[in-house]
Amino acid sequence: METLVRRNHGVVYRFLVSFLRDEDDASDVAQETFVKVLSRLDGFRGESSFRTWVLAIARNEGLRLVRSRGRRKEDAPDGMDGFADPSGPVDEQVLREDEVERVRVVLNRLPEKQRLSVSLRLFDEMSFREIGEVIGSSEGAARVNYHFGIGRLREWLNEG
Amino acid sequence: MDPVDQIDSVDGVCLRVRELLSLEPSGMLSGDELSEIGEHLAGCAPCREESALLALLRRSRPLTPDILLPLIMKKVEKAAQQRRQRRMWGLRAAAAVVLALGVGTAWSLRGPSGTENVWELALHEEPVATSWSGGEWMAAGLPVFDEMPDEVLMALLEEEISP
Repeated sequence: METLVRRNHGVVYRFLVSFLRDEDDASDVAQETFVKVLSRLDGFRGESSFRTWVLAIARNEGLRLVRSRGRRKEDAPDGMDGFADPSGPVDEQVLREDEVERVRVVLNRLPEKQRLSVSLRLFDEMSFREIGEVIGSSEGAARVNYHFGIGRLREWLNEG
Repeated sequence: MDPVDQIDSVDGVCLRVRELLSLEPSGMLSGDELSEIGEHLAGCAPCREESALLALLRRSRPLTPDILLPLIMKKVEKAAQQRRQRRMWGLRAAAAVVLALGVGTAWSLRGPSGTENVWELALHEEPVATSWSGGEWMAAGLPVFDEMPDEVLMALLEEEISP
């Protein structure tokens, strides 16, 4: 079981961060996800890859949290807020951290399916077929969501 | 420009290269595909821009906390232990049901009244009385008095002492 968790906990965590837009929630739900995986292991039929099966469970667990709270966390605050003042002297590391934070904020502004398509593709190199299975869309819809998401991100980051 | 327009304005080669770019760090691309990307980027500024954008986006990849794996394992092991306990209780309950059914069956076989406690009867039931015949009291022609009931012994004694 540890090998199974070790191989998949990263992708589950990243998916949940993208889905829930909160690292603490992602950590909690990742733990619940693997408890569910353990209890349902006998039910894995191999119709999809093990990774997408685990992510589907993660999504259900994430939805359970969302429903228990009545709604998802508020949309991220305006993505252009909170950036470092470029006029001040900042070292490269700080600049890089700010840049990363800025990208995360902007990424969180994307609609859910675009956000998940972009993050699953870029962070975990999943195929569009796999992404479609996870987000509940066709392969074609996952592809379009990815490209639309990238287009929006380009636009928003260029505005900044 | 609207993202939709941007996609429409991208030709098939650019679209293919951009999708390959999205998988570039995965190690899944062949040498030919990597060459194709390199050659295309050399002559296509928008795709170079896209390549830089993807690199920037990848830097925002969430880092998995080191504590997460042990936390998951602890929770999973606890859940597994609870499952084992539940299974054990299930087996005990099943055994209790089987035992109860057995008792019920024995009860119903006891008789039409079904009111007597068969276990109690079994515990207190007298041994079946042995019916003695004269010959069985003799071993090697001698009477085996130890095996004889009191009334028989008395009868023998009376017979012995009677004139």
